[in-house]
Amino acid sequence: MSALGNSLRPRPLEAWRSASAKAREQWRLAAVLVAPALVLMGIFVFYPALQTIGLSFYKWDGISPDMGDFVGFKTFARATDNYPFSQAIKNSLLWGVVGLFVPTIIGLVAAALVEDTNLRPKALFRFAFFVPYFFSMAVAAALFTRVYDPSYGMINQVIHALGFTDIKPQWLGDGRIAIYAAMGVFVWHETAFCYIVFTAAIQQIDRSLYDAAKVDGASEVQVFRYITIPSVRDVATFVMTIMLIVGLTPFAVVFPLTTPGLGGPYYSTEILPTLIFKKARMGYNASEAAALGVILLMLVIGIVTAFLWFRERTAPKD
Amino acid sequence: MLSTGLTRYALYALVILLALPFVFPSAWVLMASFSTNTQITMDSLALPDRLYVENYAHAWTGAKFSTFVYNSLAVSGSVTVLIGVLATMLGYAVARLEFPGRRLLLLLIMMAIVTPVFSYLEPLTRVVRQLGLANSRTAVILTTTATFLPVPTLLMRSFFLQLPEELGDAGRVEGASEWGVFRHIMAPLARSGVLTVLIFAFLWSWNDLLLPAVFLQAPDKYTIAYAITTLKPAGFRQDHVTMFAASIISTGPMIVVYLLLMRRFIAGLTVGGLRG
Repeated sequence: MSALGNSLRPRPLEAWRSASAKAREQWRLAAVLVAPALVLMGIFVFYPALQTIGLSFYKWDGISPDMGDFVGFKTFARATDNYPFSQAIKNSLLWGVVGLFVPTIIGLVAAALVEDTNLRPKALFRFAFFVPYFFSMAVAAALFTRVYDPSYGMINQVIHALGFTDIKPQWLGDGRIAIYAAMGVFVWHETAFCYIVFTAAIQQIDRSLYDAAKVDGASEVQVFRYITIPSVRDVATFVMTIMLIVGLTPFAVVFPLTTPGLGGPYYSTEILPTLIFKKARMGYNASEAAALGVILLMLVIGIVTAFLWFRERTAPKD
Repeated sequence: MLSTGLTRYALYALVILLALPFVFPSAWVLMASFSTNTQITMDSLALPDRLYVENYAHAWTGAKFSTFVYNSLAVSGSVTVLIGVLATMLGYAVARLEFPGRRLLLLLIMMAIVTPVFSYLEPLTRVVRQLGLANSRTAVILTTTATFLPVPTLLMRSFFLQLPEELGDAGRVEGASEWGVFRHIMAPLARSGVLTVLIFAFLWSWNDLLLPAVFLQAPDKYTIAYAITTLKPAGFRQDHVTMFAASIISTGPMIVVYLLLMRRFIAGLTVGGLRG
């Protein structure tokens, strides 16, 4: 926050008087350009975000006209000291790790395989890896309730067709595997995004680097390791940050997969956003929803900041 | 890169094996959307005896997906225009104008990116209720625009940062006002950035589930993504084919975008996102 001090300090009036005509004109234009967006975000982002912090220290059901009593951290204690919450934290963290590595690595490898080799036709392969993205995440999840169906679902029908007639996993009904089934949908859908961004990045790498490596007799794996990966480093940071944020809040997957129960067998697929949604929309517990919101906020900011700091620290010096 | 026979076949095998899990479920859904519920329950891997095109007709009129498509187009269209305009304005201001509080504003935008909507969901619904917007498409449009705005803004900012400052100065020498520099010199030059932002905004809002699920209670206002997720009544007589057909209908805009704009879309993706 200290970096901000400088920009906040100048006393407006004095600065205005001493500013040049060009500077004043820029200030006026800035006010015009910034105001509409700032008002909109103020009403629908910043104001409710600040409120959530205040609300989390009160005991309030979200309906009664009065805010209820100030209870300090009691709401946090009540919201966190239960099985669904610990389940949600565990699942969210696991999901963050999966989001960070699985779709990104598959997407990068697939993009490199298609772009850096002479496989033909490239357009067909590009289309193939992008196909899941034609469906929205929520629609994909709704479809996978069918794909995962134990009797007629695609996966168990394929298992059956391959001759394993007595293996019939209850993909979404079995508490031990439901969370992995849900992550499967996430990976299925998000890999397409990672793939397309890495494809764009690889296409912009200077081709002469590859030719030089070829002349030097580098193998495909070496080219991938020493040219492709370092060249897409910044893009990879961007993609991984997005996957981390999406992975920590995969509501669009879990909600359609597990409605109307919302949460899978015995909270096995519970995540923080589904808990918050239930408390805010169905459970009428505004304070606990706010407390969980604050926890989610700190979790996402903490993890994303740590990740970006790590990427910055390990960046190659040039 | 390499062309020797055996490795080449191995590569093809590898890519096809890798692509299969992504293609196969989509192909299954496409096939099932032309099938019958009985056929799917009996043997969902078998081809239907003919193409049951009427599934689409039923989804369109019987299951009212024409309404949901209309709602989605209205919501996504409005969000796209709003984000296109606001992100261009805000992005230009933080990229190219000197004004007090600019760094604070940039920090606020960054903070908004890492603040999930879930964390302030309850207060947000209250704000919407107080404004008298409960159960309205307007609520979805405004909240979607406000919560999605930060990323397109940063994208536009990096587009504007790439334009040479001399262009603006040349305009100023010619007597253009600051507004004129923005409106007639810089904004037109950032067109490809605006296009990327428009595509992103449309796709995100078309695909969003949370805000429609929170703010829309009346089924005749549902967007298509939300409507499909509600088309899932538990029980024995499930209408699979309608849902499959509706899902295929929902891919329409994505396919248009893919076919028409893929090349530009890809180019914009890398230029923009990456220079925070």
